[in-house]
Amino acid sequence: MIRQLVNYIFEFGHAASGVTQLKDMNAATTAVLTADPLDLTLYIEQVWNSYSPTAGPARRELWKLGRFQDIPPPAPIALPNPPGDPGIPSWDHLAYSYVLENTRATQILRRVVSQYRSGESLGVPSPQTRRWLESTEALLHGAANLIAPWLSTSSARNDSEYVRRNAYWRLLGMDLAHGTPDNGPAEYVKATAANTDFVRLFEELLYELWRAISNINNQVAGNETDKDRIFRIAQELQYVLRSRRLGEMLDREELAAATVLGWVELTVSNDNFVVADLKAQSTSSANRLRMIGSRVGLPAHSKSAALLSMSEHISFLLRTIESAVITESNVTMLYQPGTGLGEATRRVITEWSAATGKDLKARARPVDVNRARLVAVK
Amino acid sequence: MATDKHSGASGPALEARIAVLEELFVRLAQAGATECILENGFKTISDRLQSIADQMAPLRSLGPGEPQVAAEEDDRLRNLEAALISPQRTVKHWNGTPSERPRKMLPDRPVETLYDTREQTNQRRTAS
Repeated sequence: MIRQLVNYIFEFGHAASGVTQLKDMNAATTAVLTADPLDLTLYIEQVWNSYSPTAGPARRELWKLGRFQDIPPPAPIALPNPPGDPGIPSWDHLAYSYVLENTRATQILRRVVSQYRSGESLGVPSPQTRRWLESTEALLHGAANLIAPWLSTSSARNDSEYVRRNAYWRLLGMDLAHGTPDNGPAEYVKATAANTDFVRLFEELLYELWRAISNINNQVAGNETDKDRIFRIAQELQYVLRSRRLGEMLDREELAAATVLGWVELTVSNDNFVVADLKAQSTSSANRLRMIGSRVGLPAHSKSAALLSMSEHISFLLRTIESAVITESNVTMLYQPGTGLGEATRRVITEWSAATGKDLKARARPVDVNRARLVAVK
Repeated sequence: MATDKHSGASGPALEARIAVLEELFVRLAQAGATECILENGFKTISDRLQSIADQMAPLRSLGPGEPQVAAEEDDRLRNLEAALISPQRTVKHWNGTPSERPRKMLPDRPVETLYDTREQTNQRRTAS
């Protein structure tokens, strides 16, 4: 949700945050990174309420005092329908958080906060970085938060990283590639109702989509595009993902995760004051993260560039699939070149291959030309 | 130790290339191109290829057409683009127009149930 907030300020400016010039991404980024953590919390609460209007009068009054109260949250694609039908929120998909968290950025920033708070090994932070530290402690580590529910943590489940790991496992059937900061195994509740079939379906879809992309202009021999299969896999993915969302399950956890990882992504998105204080200026997010990681003694994932690069696109692709937009008659939208959705698909194919090491553009099992044939009946 | 090697195609990419070449040679032979090479030189070949390309036109019309997107689906997709795609990227909508990013509050009309059972999907497929 942080990303959407920055995008709004980038497009329309925000006088209350001191951003009067439009289309200035650096100003928009600084406005959010230096915002009061309570203002951010209130805005996220506003976003949640636009999807699931559960706030009482006190909370509604409270967010009217926030700095971002005049910024309208993006409209949900569909509201959840009681008694249990899932809705389609407009914040980033949980897969966005998953790929970003796999870079190990949350653990790296946690260590940054820890080292700044416990000594001077990283130097003396600037006033802006001190504000960033307050927000990071509030958003990532739940410090003294006035409105705690959206953090989805409590004494019953007190580590937000384990809450996110649990959500990744349930919705995507995947665990993170790293363990605890000291490289121990991460112990969290692995629910039995989990989409363990997600990866197989998703990679199958990407493979079919790549065949469709590579045959988009092939009008004569050997066009292997199978639109019906693409539609059936996309539909199956939609069923699988939505089956974990009945009764708004995982929605709040998804918003909390999108907020935390959005904050992390924003922090390394440009050479801002935090990056400058950490002496990690570079030309890409992945390089900044790698340098910050080396400063605090925790290496980032070696495929961080691919993971960071596909986060926005995988979010858009999966949310589109989940939102029942894809039908048999418009399935070509998924691989149409030159469009937002087509480009997102292509980028995910490229970066997913790079991050996982699986060549999605190659057939999983080559055609066997010497395969056994049925013998003639005598 | 010596092992036998098959002389056949060994991979899908090679197979595809062979299929394309076969198709091309058959077309050239049908169009009398080989005689033209001997009699008239390469200029006539390019004419022949052009005529083959013209003959392929009906096949092209069988290719992927414009997606049929209903108004509600189009609306949802535009909202998704507005919410999830970074404004710094130049994005086009599925129909090729630059995507607008209207900031909307909750939709005015009642939100319909999106949850679709397999039976409902089968009914839709049968109806269409």
